[in-house]
Order: sequence, then C-alpha cells, then structure tokens
Amino acid sequence: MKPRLSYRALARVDAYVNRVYTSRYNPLYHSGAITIAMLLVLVVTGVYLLFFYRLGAPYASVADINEQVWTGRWIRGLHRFASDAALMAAGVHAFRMYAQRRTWGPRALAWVSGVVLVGVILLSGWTGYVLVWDAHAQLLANEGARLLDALPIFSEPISRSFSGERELPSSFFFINLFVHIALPLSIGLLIWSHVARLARPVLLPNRSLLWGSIATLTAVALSWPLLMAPAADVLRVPADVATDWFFSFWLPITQRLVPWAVWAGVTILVVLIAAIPWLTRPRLAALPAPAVVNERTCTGCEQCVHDCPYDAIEMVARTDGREGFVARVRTELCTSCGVCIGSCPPMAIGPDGVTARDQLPEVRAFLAAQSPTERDVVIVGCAWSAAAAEADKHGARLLSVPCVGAMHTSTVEHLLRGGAGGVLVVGCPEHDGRTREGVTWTDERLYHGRKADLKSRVDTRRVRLVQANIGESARLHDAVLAFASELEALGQLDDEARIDLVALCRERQPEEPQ
Amino acid sequence: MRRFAIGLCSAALVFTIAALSRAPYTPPGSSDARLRFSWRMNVKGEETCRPRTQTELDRLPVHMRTPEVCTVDHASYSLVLRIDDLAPDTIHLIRGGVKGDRPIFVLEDRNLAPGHHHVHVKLVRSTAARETILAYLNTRLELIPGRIQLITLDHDGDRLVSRRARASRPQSR
Repeated sequence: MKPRLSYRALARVDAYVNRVYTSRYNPLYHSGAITIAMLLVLVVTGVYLLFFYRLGAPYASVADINEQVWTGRWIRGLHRFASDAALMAAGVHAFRMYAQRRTWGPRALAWVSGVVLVGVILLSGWTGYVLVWDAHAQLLANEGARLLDALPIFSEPISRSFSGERELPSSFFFINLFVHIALPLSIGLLIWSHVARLARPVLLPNRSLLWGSIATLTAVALSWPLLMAPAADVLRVPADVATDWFFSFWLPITQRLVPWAVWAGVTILVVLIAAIPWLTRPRLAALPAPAVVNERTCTGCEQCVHDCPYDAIEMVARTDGREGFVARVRTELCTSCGVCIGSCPPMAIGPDGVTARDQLPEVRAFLAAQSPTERDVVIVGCAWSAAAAEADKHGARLLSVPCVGAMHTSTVEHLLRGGAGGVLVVGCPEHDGRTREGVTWTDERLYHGRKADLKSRVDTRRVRLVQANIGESARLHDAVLAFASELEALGQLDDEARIDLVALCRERQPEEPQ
Repeated sequence: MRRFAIGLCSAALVFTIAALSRAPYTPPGSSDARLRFSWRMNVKGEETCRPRTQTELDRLPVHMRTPEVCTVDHASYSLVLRIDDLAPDTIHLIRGGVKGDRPIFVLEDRNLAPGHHHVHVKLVRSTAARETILAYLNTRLELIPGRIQLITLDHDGDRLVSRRARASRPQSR
C-alpha cells in the first residue's frame, strides 16, 4: 500500500518538527494523547470554575473569577486554551490517521468514535461559551437557537428566549451548565471505545510533553490573560466580537445561510467524515489478507500474542492431538500489519504470501540480483520510510518490506551471510509507526533478545536500525554514509583479526644458526 | 540551542492558539438597525356542540358513545406591517401544535437603515364572518445602528408597545 499525498506532506512537516523537538517529543506524533491530557486539564480547571459560577448572575460571576488575578484569571485562561489545544490536537490526530491509511477495517470503530468525540468536544465548548453570557455567548446562543428552531422539536421557538421580550430565565443557564458537565462525562466512555481495539493504548504523552504543554499554556494564560467581553444584551446586535475560532469557526458561514442549508451541509459533512473508513478502504481484491497460523509449526510460545498491537491473536487449545496451545488470529480484529511475522521464531504466522518463510526466497533472489560485497550497505525498509528515497536518489541497495516490524531477523542474518557488509534497517519513527509498535519490537528483536531475536552468531555491529520517515531522506543519507564508514573501519579490523600472528611470527623468525 | 528552539516554537504555537481564541469577528448586519416583533399570544377557538343522533350513537363502540359532538372553529391571525411609504406586508401567523391549539409565537426581525421610520402595525383576527383588529401601533421610531427596537404586546395582551435596548437580566454581583 503506497503512501498518499497527504502523508508525504505530513511527513515533511514531521521532519521539520523532529529537527526541533526530536521524534520522542514531537507533539504531532502524540496528538491523540495530548487531546486526552488537555481534556483532563479541562476537567480539573472546570471543577475549580464551577465553585464560583452562579446561575443567577452568569456574566457577573465570570467577571468575578476574572478578577482573581492569582488564581481565577489564569485558570479560566487555561480552561479555554486547553479546550482549544484539545480540539486542535484532535484535528491533527484525525488527519494523521487518515493520511497513514489507519482508518479502515477494525480501526473503523476508533475513527467513528473519534468523530463523535470531536462532536462532543465542540458541543461542550459551545455550551461553555454560552455560560459566560457575553457578546460572544449571545452570538452563539442566537445562532444555535435559529438553527434549532428550524427543526420540528420544540413547541416554543427557542429564539424567543433571546428576543428581549422577557428576562432570560435562569433555567437556560442551568440547562447549559448541565449539558456542559454531562457531555464530558460521556467522553470517558467514548475514549474507552476509541482505544478498545488497541493493545497497550497510550493515553497520555510522556511526562516532559505533558507538563511542557500544561506549562506553556499556563504561561500564555498568565502573560496574555483573557479579558471580559461586553455583557450580552439581547436588544443589541453584537459587533466586533472576540470569538474563539476553534469553536466558532462555523459562525461566519452559517450566519449567511438559511437553517435548512446549514443542517443539510452539516449532515452531509458529518456522514462523509464518519464514512471515511469505508470510502477510503482498499478495493476488496486489494485488501491485504489477515494473518494465519501454521498450526503444525506453531510452538505455542505466545510471543505473537504479546507483540500484536491490536489484540488480534489469542491462544486456543490444540486440536491436532498434541498437548498445549496454539495461536489463533481473530481475523475480524487483524489489520494485516504483519508485526506477528517478526515475532515468531519458527515462522509460523503472518498474512498469506508475506510470511517469514516467504521472505527468505525474496532475500535469496535479492542477493543473486544485487551480489552485495563486504563494503556494501543493504537497506531494509518500507515504502512509508525514507528507505525508498535513499534508493531512488543515491542508488542504495534496497530490500523492500511491508513494515520493518514484519521483517524476520533471519532476513538480516541471510543478507549478511550472503555477502553484505552491513544491513541498515529503516523504520518509521517509534511514536509514529503505522503498525504502532513495529519499529519498537524490531529494535528489541535486533538488540535486546526479544523473540524472534537476531542470533548471537550475527555481528550486531553490522546491523543498524534507523528511524526516519519519508520526509527525512537527508538524515537517512547521513546515517548511511556514517554506517558505511564504520563498516570500512570494521573491515580493516576484521582483516587484521584474520592475520595469523603465529604463522607470521614463524615466517619472520630469523633462522637459528646451525 | 535545541532547548531555545523548543521554547521558541512552543511559545509561537501557544500564542497562536491564544490569538485564535480571541480573534475579532463582525457579524453580518451588525451596523444595521433592527426592528423586532416578538410576543406570545394565547388563542381560543370557538367550540360548537350538538347532541348525537341515535343512529350515530349506534354506530359507535360502547366506550365512545359521548352524548355530544363538538367542533372547534379557529380564527386565523395575521400581522400587517407598514414601514414608511412601503407597501403593507402581511404575515400570516400560524398556531402551534398539531391540532393548532397551541399559542401563536411571533418573532420577526426587519433590518432597516438607521434613522427615523414611520411604523404602522396591525394584529388582525379573521373569521369567515368578520375581521377584527386586536391591537395596533402607529408611531414614529428612531432606529439606532446596532440596536434592536422591540415591538411586543403588553401584559394585558391588547396593546402593542415599543421597547429599546434593555439588559436581558440584571447583572448583580
């Protein structure tokens, strides 16, 4: 499966961000976890604000909070900026999943629940802004009422509440507050369903990124505090309103349209976005096959169960008369990522046609065609990494694999035995793997003894793992050159090691006088 | 150097968020003056009852044999607006509810050029037999940009009155 244009653009941005933050702290890689972290910040700051909010005097109570210079003001600012950051991070996360083609198949549940999550965040933000009851709130309330009145739901038009004919009832703010609090309660359930099909879901970013994000948002809340907009007045037309473009981006569009056109547009847009898993799914004939287990060779070691990033493998009792358990793939959960291929020492599992046993003839054919020498670096990588660019630009010898996580370590051993001076494995950055943990497991399999591990007879100095996405070809090229020069030095060492010192001494020893 | 770059990029990002969080926006029509008609009106239909004939009673199931059959005749209501010398505009007011027995809710906004306007409003009730003016307002109003002039029924529901910018609720502390 080839990367789409959106992925190439994303990878380029990632490459720039990696240069500054490094791949470990790249906030774009952790966008999903940052969203959850920001939602937690919203809960904590929201609880504080709730203590001071008064339904009977909404605007005045928020103004009071804003006057608490050392607490209320920045907590209110943090509450707002965290909601903006959550929405932005969710948008980045969704785009990333789309660009990486990680939406269809078993991941459709995560996509659809993610779309609902964003909808809940937007609605919750809407009600939150209305609670302040300033000019921005009035705009949102008027527009929301106008749109809702077009639906045959309410016996009395909601817009009349804001007509100025009578005082706005406290019940309006009570309902808003109730929805503002009730909606986030459902977020927990949505997040659970969002990650239900993932093994070891990462719910929070690493500590530095988490506290770094909170600290920078706090800093901006302190240094550039939120000011109170004019109070809402239903008999005035709001003008020059300071609006939050994350939550009110739709206002300039909907205010110029009739309500039915807005509802039609929203319905079409939501259906299209929610249907992306089915719209962008590969054609049936091109759908990658799910992994299958060769029960004759499966030893029941359970490594594939531990490694599968989608919890799609389970152990069941053997039915062939032998004792013990055998792995079985739950095809409805399998995304055909191939990570199980590299996890199996006896090469008993993998999608049909790309198992480790299928990799070996490919390696032999590659060696026969390329005939690498001791000075050559062979690159093993996928189409989603910088490996292909390195081969195209600099003529590197490339053995293409669907994912480095799907590469069996015996492939590396075969390449070295076939004459290659070194093998450079190129994977996606660790926190951005299309196959989630593919590159992490590859690192452990090559260097840390995780099954199926690279055998100790292989000189690991001749094996290098580099994480470089499609936009980091220059960095990969530098790594290739560095590795090649290391191999050259290693070759000289080996040449020296091959010198038979005893024989040499004997040759050079002066003949004893007779 | 890297830490400085991280700090700079993070600061730029969060300041962008903070700036987008309070970006100015001018809604369409915010410089216009607006005339608003808004009220709620309870309406009652005229009920006419007659006793059921024995034949009608025999046709009905036992539990539905009420002695009288009633029909409700609703009048229709309309709002006639005349602003300055423009042609009168008649808005037919529709009763709420599936059976049309719910109150009438009036909410009409007209954007007008700021300045003085002569406004003539009539609330008319029409039946097959006759047409009755329930309330009317004939006045000269000064409309101010960005303000809404409200025309509504008074508490007794028999007089149209005009009102201007008043806080929706007192903002006590």
